Amino acid sequence: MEILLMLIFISFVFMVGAILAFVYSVKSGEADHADRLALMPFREEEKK
Amino acid sequence: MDAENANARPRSRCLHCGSPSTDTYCCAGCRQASELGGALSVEEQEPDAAWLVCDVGGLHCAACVSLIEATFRAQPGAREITINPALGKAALLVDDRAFKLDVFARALDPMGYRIGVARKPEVPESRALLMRLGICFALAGNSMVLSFAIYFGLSPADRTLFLTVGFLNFTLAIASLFVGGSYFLRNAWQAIRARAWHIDIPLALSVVLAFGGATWIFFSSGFGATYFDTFTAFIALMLLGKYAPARIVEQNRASLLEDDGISSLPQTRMRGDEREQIAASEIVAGDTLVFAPGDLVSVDAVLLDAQALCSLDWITGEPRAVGFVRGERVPAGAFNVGDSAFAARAQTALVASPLPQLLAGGARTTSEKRQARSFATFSRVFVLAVLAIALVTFGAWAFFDVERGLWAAVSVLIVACPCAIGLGTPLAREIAARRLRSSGVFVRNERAFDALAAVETIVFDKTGTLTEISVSRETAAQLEALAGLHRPVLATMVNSSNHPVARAVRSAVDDTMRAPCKVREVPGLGLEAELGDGIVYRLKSAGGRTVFTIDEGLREDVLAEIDLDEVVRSDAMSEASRLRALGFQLGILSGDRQERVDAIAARLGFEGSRCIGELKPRDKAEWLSRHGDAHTLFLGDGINDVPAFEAAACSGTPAIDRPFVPARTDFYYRAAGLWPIREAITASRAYAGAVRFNYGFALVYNVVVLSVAAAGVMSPLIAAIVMPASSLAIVLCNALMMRRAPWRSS
Repeated sequence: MEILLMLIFISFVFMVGAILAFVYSVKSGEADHADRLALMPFREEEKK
Repeated sequence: MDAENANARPRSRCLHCGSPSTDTYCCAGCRQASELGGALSVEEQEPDAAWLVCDVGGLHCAACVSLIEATFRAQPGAREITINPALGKAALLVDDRAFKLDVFARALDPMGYRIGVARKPEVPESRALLMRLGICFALAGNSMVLSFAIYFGLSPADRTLFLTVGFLNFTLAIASLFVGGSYFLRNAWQAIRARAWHIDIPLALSVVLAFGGATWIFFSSGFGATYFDTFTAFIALMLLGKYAPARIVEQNRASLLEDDGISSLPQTRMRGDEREQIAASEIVAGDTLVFAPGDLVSVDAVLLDAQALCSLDWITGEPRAVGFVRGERVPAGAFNVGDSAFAARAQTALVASPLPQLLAGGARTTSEKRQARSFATFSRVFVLAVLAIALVTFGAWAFFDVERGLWAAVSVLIVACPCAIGLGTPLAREIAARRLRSSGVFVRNERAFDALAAVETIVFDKTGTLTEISVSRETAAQLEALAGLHRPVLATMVNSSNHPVARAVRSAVDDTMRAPCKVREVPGLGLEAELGDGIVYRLKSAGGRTVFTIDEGLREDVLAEIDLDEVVRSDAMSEASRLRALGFQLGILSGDRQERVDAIAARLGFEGSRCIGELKPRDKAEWLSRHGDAHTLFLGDGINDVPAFEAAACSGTPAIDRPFVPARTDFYYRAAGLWPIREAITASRAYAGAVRFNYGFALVYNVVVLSVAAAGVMSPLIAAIVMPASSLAIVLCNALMMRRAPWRSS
């Protein structure tokens, strides 16, 4: 069973690492335009 | 300004506005207003009141409006606030002396609202929410994986692993509460402190109940039963419900404010000794600009002439004329109400000017205030009703099953959603406004959409609205042949005035020519230009004709007769038939002779009984009051139409370059034809349809989901999916409804 506890611990370390990487990328503004395509229905058609 | 005028001291008060004046009236504007019989009476408004237009970050739903309004009202010097939740903008009417914006901003900051200078580039507000959202989804995902172990048979027999999984899940739930739940708890706490009923109050209560319930069950069941995966997922989904509208608000703000119609406003710039007509967007800091009587100052500018007289009506709501002397700053939004042009040096480009915000509208009308109050009341009643239903649900279930009652109450708190009214309606209005802007139609206030949707009769002023004035071909040839200084003097004169005749003549002369003369507008008499040595040029009306004369002291000679043609606007006939086909009744109210009105009416196919000539401004207003009721749109282009604008249910103008006029109408348009009128009505009807849909949706959705949740057949997790899904659905429906509305095809 000890190996399971260790795996859980390692997965938590990965999770914390992933969260830190995510926080860094959001702070860098990488996600500011991530939903541009998703929000296209709400935007105007391009002017001709 | 000449030395004599510069040294003149006020000897009396203006008969209209009471400002110090050396004459009966302080300016041409007051003279005209007074001649209109007090139609433009000076409003009593306390001095030191000023409008501030700001961006507000952190608005996630319309209920936030109530919270910000309550905080604003608690500030000293606060008068009135208008918040647009779909755009994230606020207009504040404050007492300059007492109101402290920084104190207000600090009061909003703990609530998560950031207030700042309009149009200032900023970090997107949704970024902080995205951060919480991402972390909470990570926590929820891990909590679910851990819960799988229990679902698939991890038993207390495996004591170490069982406890590790249980307490790790508990830790993840606490982290989720701090990262995501704190967002709702903080908002609710601030709302309670401000005594405002915010929709986050029931949501915060549901967070507390859900966490408390899950924890209680966890410990009371010997760490076996766990609802922490449900709790973390519920927090993540609720944040998603907040994040999506926040992004849409940001997208709206970015796109809806791109074009405000002011960019193409014509302005006169000096290039050496020559004048050139440019678009306001071409102005750069340091340009020397010339503002004719009636011209709008589009950017802050330092006065170069000895003095100038301007109205700050758009800025302060105060129609009283204000004098400026050389070196003083004339603010953007002022307009020249003196009798002569003045030169000023631009301090900024248009992009830094507050004019677009001024043009977008000023004080709220009574109906708009009523609408804002009614939403605040709706929000309060809605939140109280949800809390009451949750309490009754728990009370009823507690007799049978406390645990199920708890989850049913939590579901009720989560699933209730006023977004259809609070977010969908403002969004539909902004989409309509945006589409109209892209067509060159600019709606100035919210009530215009309601009024336009109800229009049945459209009444036009004739000259300038249905028709345009231009000089005849013969006159153009005559002006071309003017010799010596005559032509440059005429060009200088017509470039210094916004009178319709001057505008018509301007097109027939080289408007870059300039003569060293002083031009002034003499109300009722025309334009005068003094060249020195007693030589005076005049552009005036004499014996039913418009003439350009020179007066050298002994006699006055006619240099040219200005023959004016009145032509119907290019698309007037086709638009008139389209509007008739749509069922509108069309009419003309004009000050011109009846036979000319009849001729235009016959040409356009208007019904004779609604086409009346020889009317004074007040007669037009009386006719509209008698015949118009709540379904009449009046379109005019002159100061003399102001009483009619006020009498009609709704008003519009094509006179964007005469600031007196659009400042008093509900919408204005810059196209040469009449099609913007049909466009504005069509957009308003689409908006009215969206509003009806939103009310219906809000009613049906809340009745259905609250019944299901109270019956105990909807888990909090499902509620946390349904609520944001309904918010997104309403936003999507409004966007698609407005997009598919029958807009102009040409």
